[in-house]
Amino acid sequence: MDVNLLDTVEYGGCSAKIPPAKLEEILASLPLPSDPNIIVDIDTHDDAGVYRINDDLALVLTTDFFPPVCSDPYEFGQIAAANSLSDIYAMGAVPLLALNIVMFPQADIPMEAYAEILKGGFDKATEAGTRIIGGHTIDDAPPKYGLAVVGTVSPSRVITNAGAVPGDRLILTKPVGTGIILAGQRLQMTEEANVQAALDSMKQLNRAGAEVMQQFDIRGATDITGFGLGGHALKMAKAGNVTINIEMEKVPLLPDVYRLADEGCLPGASFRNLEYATGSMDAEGLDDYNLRMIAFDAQTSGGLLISVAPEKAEEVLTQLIEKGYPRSAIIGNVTARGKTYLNLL
Amino acid sequence: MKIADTTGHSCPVPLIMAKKALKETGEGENLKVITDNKTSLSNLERFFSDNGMDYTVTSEGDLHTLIVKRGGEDIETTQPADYCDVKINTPEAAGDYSVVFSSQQMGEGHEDLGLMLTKSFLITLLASDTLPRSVLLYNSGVKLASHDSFVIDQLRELESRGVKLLLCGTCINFYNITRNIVVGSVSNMFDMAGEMISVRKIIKP
Repeated sequence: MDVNLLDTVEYGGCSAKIPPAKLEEILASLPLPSDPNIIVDIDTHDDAGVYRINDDLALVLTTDFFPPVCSDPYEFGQIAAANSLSDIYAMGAVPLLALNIVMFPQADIPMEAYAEILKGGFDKATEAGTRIIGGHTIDDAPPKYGLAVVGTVSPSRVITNAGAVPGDRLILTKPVGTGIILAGQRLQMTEEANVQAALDSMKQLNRAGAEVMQQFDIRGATDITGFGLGGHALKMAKAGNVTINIEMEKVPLLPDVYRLADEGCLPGASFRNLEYATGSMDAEGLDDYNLRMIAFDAQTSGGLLISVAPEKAEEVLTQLIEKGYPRSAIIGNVTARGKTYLNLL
Repeated sequence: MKIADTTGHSCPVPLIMAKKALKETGEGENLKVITDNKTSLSNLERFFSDNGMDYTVTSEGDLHTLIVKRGGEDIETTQPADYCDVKINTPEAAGDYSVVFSSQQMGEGHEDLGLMLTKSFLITLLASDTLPRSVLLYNSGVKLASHDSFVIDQLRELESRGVKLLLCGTCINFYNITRNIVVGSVSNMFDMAGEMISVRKIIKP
């Protein structure tokens, strides 16, 4: 079987997400369900919904799926699953059960590719200690894959994107730039080793990161995905009504990302994400235009952005590095709500 | 004027092409970027405005043309023809030869005669079946690319028909006419000498 999944995706498809500004507008027009047991809903644009079952148990629900980000079906399955599971980890929860969500054009692509995608997802779910107990597939092109996941957490230990408080330091656990690297790959502007580094980063579960967060009693975090580091930091700042300051020089980057950005290899999603932040953001203190755009590069299965009390920051960082996130770094801090929600320095 | 024709490409290719062209665009020169992709147009606009560059956009159907001001040149001095002339033709039967002007005059003798011959030569060249691959201007020849040049229309036409127009940057600086240059790409000895070496024939009228 010789399938290149990237051939199935429209060239220049940039990123498959609906622009965040549009999404917010539409979601705002829907009435929110009212139920005292809903701990987290879409009101704060968090990573997953959280529902309290009793004093000891809350369910965390999320789903995510997208078109191929790489050529190899097995690798795509792994990345899509890691990405879906990430929202559970960002809430500090443990994934319990999952369902496959698949769109696959059976007339265009050999069914072996379908099997490989599912196998990638299965292996990643197994690594996460999650059971996939069903799913749903429809015939559609291009292929898309992801999981709907149910996780569990103690209601008192839910980590939300509204939990950042002034004084906190911000730690990012994975380097950014997957969107730029994937665009660079399509245009053959970067070497295979750089692409592989990005794929490996996307495949990595945020599981150990979530465990470290619980170990240190962290209350505020999010995972960095389609809206980019800047977009998710902004959502976090809005949810917590604080200002987030990010020093872009300190943000770890995947290899070759800066050079590609400098050449103009900036996917359309970066501009959409930047558009969303405009008005809520001050980037005057950041002279480097490339870094500003990198801040809004849409990430697939990105790292955790963790808000941690300053006295614990170094220790948490050390733990994260030891637990398999060697590029973890303190990239900024949280201050009382200022003129803008987000400052890029 | 430097041109980046990105028609047929979707993001991020137009931005990559524009940034590359921007790097090759000299101070005082304008850059023309053409795109037929709406998203790319808005991303290009965003890029130029975020980087504090003045630009204008004209749209004709699905074709959008951005004229980006680079350094000294005033956008307003750009000829209207540049805005309308959105389809850049590939060189029609580009010949494997270069034309070199080392002064404004063709041949040696009376200045008035020399200037007249230059204009006549360029008009004849434009009417010929085989356009050159490139036109190289150096020493006082760079003055031909100045906005008040008597052959500016002919040089613009050559460029719009796909002929590479290379100007000696050192010479432009020497004569201190950076702000007057309105056509062609500012180049260097490396590229100009490379061009002369690689073509089969050099014509020095």
